[in-house]
Amino acid sequence: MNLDQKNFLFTILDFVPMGIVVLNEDFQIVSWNHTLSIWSAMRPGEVEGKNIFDIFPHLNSPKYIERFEHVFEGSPPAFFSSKIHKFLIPCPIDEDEYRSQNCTFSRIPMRDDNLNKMGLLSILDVTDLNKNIVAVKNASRLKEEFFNICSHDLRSPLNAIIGLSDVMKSEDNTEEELKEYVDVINDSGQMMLELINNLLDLGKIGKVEHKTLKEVDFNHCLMSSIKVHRYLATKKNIKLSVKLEKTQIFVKANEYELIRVLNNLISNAIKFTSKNGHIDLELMKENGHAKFLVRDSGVGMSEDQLKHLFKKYNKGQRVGTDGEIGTGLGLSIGHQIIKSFGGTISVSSEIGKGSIFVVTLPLLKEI
Amino acid sequence: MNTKLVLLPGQEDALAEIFNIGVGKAASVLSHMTEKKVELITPKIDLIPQVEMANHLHMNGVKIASVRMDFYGDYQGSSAIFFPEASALKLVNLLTQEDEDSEDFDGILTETLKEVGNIVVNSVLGSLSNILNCRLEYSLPSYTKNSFENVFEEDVQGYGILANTDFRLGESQIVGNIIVLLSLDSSMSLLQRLVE
Repeated sequence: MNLDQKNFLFTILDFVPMGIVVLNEDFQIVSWNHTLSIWSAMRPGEVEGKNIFDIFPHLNSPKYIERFEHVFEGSPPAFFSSKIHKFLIPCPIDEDEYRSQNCTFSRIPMRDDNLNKMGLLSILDVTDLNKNIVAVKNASRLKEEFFNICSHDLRSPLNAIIGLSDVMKSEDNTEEELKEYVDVINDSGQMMLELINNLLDLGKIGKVEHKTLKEVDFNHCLMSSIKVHRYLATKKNIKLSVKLEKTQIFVKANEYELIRVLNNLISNAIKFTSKNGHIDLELMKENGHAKFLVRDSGVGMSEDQLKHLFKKYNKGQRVGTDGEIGTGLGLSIGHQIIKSFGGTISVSSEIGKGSIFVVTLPLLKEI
Repeated sequence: MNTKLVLLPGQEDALAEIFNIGVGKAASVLSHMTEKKVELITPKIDLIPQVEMANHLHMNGVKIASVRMDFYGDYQGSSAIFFPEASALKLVNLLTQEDEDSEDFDGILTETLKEVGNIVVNSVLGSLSNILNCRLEYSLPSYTKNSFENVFEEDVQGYGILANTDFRLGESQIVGNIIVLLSLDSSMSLLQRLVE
């Protein structure tokens, strides 16, 4: 191939919408195409004729050199994935982001002016592709979570409404009991309405939005949650005992979301405790924190189950002692919510003996 | 008349050497890439008619993850590395420390296997073309996850050189297979070349 033909070919490479570098077997840059000049902000004149390792020292590593050399020796094209290397030639998009590159290095049937073998590094910019794939997968996960949250969080208040309205059909209820049942049904309805309003705001689904945090009465939240669940516990003949501090406990939180976490912990305890078991709820102050414990005499969990319990995509869906179905999602959401309030949630458990969940939140003030 | 090819001891030794040199180079690249000691061992080489391959490997209906490259020139065929799905997940987990909970794990799995497969298959084909001094041109690597039969369409007369391959990373061991699929003509010509 004569010089004119080579120049002609290298000119064509300028019009290819991929980054292209031609190297000789001494790793000198023979050609640097126009696309790569724009991406890297390095003109051909600045790099051509120079050793690529002098310009990009990170490539001067056996993990690259060996593979380039194998190609010069006759091996097939070497592929370098963006998922592993991110990029071979740094091409900044902005201050802290570089183009993700899928690169291929192949030998070409041409020699340079000194009859050295030549290889072609072609660079495909996959930044947008990678982002789009992640966005599509996230959208799909969010959709799945949307339905999971619906089924999970709507179940507890709905069960209370259905169960208590059944009880109200009986003629044995006193007026006081009826008033209490109506209150619980009303609270449950309010809780569902608030949940549905939140779900309709699609932007908030699947992620815990850091809503405005304000002073929240922990005792009040706990009592609201207990009201909804007492009936469910009674139905399984589970003894639900509650121990509260005499003084009020205030924390910085979002009331709706705190109740959501408490609902989840208490409904889980009921779900995994067999008939005639017991659940102890305790709210106290300890070392400047509000500490809430849910102790059940339920089925308990294995070490493996505990390991994945708070993970976002925990697939360990479990069925309750009475066949209750859950999504395995509530605890991961609860974990995120409590974290966003600056608190912690932890668990200890033993198979056959039960579980203890502990939530701590910094105290806002003491009365 | 059907031609039944078998490996003679000298041919088997030569192929074993070609594969061992190839996987040795691949292990060196993978060790540098992962900064861990990676060993690749091909204890046995077989020559199997392509129609018997799935039965021989007990792979009928088995879903595999494979990276394949076609080649042409002095010999025509394709070469691939493949793993049962569970082994592929384990290998990627060991190499990248990413697991199924990772964001875009499918992408990481595909790209990692594609690059690992490319390194291994390249090294074996490079070793083959260097030692036999033959001219080969290659396609780019492609990754496929499907049943064994769907990934490798049979050439009813063709043969496959099969190398059972152990990946050893620290305490862990993962078994994969490297195959070089050749037409009957290319198989005969290659075997002839091995004894020359």
